[in-house]
Amino acid sequence: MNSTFFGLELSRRALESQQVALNITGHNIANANTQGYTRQIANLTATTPDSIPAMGRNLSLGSGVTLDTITRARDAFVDRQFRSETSKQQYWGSKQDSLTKVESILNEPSDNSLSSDMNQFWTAWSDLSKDPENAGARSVVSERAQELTDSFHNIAQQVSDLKENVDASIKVQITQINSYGQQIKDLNDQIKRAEVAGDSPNDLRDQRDSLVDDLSKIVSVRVVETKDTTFADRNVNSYKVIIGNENSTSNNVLVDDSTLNSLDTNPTTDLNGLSGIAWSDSTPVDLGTKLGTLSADLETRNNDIPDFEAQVDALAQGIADAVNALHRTGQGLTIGSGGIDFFTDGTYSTSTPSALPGVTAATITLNSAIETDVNKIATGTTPIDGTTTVTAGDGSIAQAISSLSSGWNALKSLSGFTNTISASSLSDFYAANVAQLGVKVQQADRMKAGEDVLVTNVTNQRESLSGVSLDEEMTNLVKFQKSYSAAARMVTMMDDMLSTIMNMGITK
Amino acid sequence: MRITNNMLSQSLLRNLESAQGRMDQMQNQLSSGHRISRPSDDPAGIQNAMRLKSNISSVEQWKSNADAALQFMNTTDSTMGDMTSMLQRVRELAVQGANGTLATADRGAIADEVDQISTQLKMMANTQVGSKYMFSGTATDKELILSDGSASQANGQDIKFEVGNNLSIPVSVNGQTLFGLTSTNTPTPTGMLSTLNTLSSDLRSNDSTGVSNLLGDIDTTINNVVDQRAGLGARINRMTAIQGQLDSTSTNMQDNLSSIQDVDMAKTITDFTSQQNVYKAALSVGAKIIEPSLVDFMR
Repeated sequence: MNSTFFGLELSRRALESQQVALNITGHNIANANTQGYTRQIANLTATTPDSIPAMGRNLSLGSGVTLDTITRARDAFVDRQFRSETSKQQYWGSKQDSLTKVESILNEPSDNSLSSDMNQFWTAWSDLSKDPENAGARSVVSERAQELTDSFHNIAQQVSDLKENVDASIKVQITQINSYGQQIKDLNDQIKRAEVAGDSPNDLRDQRDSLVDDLSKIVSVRVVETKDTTFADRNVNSYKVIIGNENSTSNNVLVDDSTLNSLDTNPTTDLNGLSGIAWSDSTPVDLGTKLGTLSADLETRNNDIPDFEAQVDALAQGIADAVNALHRTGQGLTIGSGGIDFFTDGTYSTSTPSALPGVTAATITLNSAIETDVNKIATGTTPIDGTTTVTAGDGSIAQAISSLSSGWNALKSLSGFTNTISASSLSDFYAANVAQLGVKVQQADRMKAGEDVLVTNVTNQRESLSGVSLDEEMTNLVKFQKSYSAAARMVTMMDDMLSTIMNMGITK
Repeated sequence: MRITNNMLSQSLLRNLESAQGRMDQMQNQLSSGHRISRPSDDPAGIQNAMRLKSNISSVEQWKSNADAALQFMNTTDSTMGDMTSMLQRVRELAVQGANGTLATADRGAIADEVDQISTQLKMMANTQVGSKYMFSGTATDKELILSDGSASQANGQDIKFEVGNNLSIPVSVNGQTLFGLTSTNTPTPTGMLSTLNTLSSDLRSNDSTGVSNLLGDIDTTINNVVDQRAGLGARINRMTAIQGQLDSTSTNMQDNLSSIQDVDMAKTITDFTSQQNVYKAALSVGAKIIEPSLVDFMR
């Protein structure tokens, strides 16, 4: 036979449990818009039944409800997918960002671009070939040449600025990784303390997951959560965060439970004076391929931008070589002005080195001797005696130089000239490079768009599982509230019943 | 699938953003008129577009060169036309002067006219187009015949204008051949002017035989000028043909460039309008979806 007050105890448990469930619902509603919040679920279970004897056998009598656990609606597999796709998405996003910047530096196709400067440069030579004795046409060539070199300098400067920006961003990201690692480590400590005490600290876990999500934007992240065997009777976990290449044999653990293995914030600089990535004990970090903004920025800084710089330098060199080779064979209006270079690397003017000067986009300069005296622009062939008369109306050299716009024919007759540009003309070489850059940006655009869709899908999956639905919470609210009212009714009923018992022996 | 409020609002936001992004792109295309505004819009297209632009810039330059060449050659042609008629007048005068019955004073008058024509021809030899002496070869800053009648600081090199890919056409007439000058500097006039000088002095000295003997030389001179002019005429024809070709090439290239980089207005405007409708629809649906939840229906 069970106790008379058994019903009261049962109702108390019900009231208490429904109240907690109501509070959890309130907590969910309150955090409906909190970033990284996971919906919490009150797991109510029936308490251990009482055993009551009844007619020669025992019956289990339900003893009410209790709140067993409060769990998070979270799926580790979806988390892993989300982080992996985020790493890829961020990689392409960062790549797209940097490459688009390079694309904007070129400003093609427009009327203020290197290609239009080149076209104007060649046509100025063609104009000059018609009127080699005309000082106006000479000045135009000189002006166009300076516009062209200015464009080269501008591109070289902006690209090198961009490279420095990317390098600075890499340093910031290293600091961020360390900071995330530190916060994850601190949370690991707090969570472990709670878990050892038998608690399941859901909100702290949310914070930790949110940090790992943020970390996955910078580098690819893998989380390994294992049961801590020291505590056999409780649910205590060890939490390990591994960054970079998953298949790497090297040790890539950023946080192992309560130890933080941080990155070197002031790493040794490489040949170009740029920072590399290494652990604090100087072992290099294997970041894996195409994962995270850090890897994208490193690739941009170490490959994409230098490749692009090399192409622009090759173009500058190609123009300088072709123009100089022809210019050296000719002479201007001043006696003895033959044989000088049109473009120099800025270190000499009248004296001419025997080899064609090596120039880059940053150093290509109009020969200062020509800038001060446009009559030194070679337009015709050097007279046979080399010193006496200058044939004012001979525009053959100017014509040969202007014909460089469409090909290399003018250079074929020059002995000892090796053409370093592998395209049918200088403009074609440049156009091919621009197209190549365009393909890279387009690839980044498309990959980014594709990854955006995947991340959206995974986010939806995650949101579908972990997100707060107000409709659902309102339904739960009604549900728990009604249960609470019912349990309260039960207490009232018990009270009535007990009153009946109490009043049984009383006589008037 | 469980749908949460966040999912609804996020997907609405995403759809609005992407609709707006497409509208922005089309608006850019419409206002600039260009389909390609950056290399990544169409890498293959931009390579063609840049090649075409560079070709168009060359062709435009060749067109302007051809115009200048025609101007040069037409001036030369008309000068040579004047020369021919002047030399024909000389021939008439020579025939007149060879007439044995003519009085000395009349011969003197004829000689005066010959001298004047001679001076005129000397001036023509130094005709300038712009600042160029057009019969002086590439020595365009030097006169063909100096004032003392001696020749010549000029050379017989052709002035060539570039009017095509590796195509340069001589636009000048060799003045030395035209006036029958020896290429080296000589103190006394040679060729055409020397013939006229001899004619003049023969006339003044009443040497009618000498005058009639000169008729053959005068004919040779006239024929030489006519031949040179015919050669120039052929080149003018060729240049005019090239100019026409360059015009149509330029038009074709502009068409090609336009088909590569220009936006199809009708299509884009239609697309834009339908995109606008999509955007409006998304907005009005969004306004209805986002607002209500169960909360609104509970007391």
